[in-house]
Amino acid sequence: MAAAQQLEKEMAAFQNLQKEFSKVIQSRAQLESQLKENEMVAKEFELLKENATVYKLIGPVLVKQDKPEATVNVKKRIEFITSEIKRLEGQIKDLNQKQDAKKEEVMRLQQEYQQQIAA
Amino acid sequence: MAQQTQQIDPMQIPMPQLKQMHTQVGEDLDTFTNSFAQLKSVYAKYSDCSESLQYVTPKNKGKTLLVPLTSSLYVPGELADSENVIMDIGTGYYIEKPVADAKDYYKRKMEFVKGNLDKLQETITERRKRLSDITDLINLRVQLMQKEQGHTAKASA
Repeated sequence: MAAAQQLEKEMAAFQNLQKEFSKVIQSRAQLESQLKENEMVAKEFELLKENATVYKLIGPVLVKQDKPEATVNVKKRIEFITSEIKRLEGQIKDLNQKQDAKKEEVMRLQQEYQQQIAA
Repeated sequence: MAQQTQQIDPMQIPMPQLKQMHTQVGEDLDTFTNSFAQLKSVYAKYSDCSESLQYVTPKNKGKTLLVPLTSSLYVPGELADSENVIMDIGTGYYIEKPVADAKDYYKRKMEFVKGNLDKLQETITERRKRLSDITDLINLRVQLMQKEQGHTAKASA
């Protein structure tokens, strides 16, 4: 009986890990698309003349901005997002390992449980 | 992946695995078709913007036009600046550009999207073929199994 209980517990833990994993994957995908968008804006700034007018949407109004300032801002954002992605990559690797370990544990318990039933 | 399946005898793949492959490829195909539709609508949007720009000319300066406040409420206005337009380039940034530059921007964007559409189309065609191959294989296997069952039933009778 104890084996069944433990199996159930480990199963739940495994499923939790899976849920967490898919959450992290989702945020990673979101960051990726944000990065792409920012990169696009940065590229557009590069093509822009130095004296071009740049506006930023703050709430419902467009506020005039300095082009160099805006460029630096976007660059900073790209840096931030890239480091965030790196952090998530680490988490993904970590979770992958944890998941594999849990899977093995669950499988081992399952076998044990089946042997017990057979005996 | 494709080479691997060629090496394995397709008649030896277990049925549940085949069915799983079928669902997997089907899901992939759905995702790709969705992205394709999304890209298409983005392309249409850029194309609309680019088309609208052709009316922003010095000739039309000062002419009255109707500005949509919502999709059903319009107020009269007039074209004050026929040389520059302000456009959204993403992440909340807007830039002012001469009409010609704006047209160039949309042209670049449309080419970019078009390239991705073409690539995606290729993938979709390939996946579609793979899906129909798997479906054919499943049907063939089911037929063979039914025949075999018929034989054994006759033999035992």
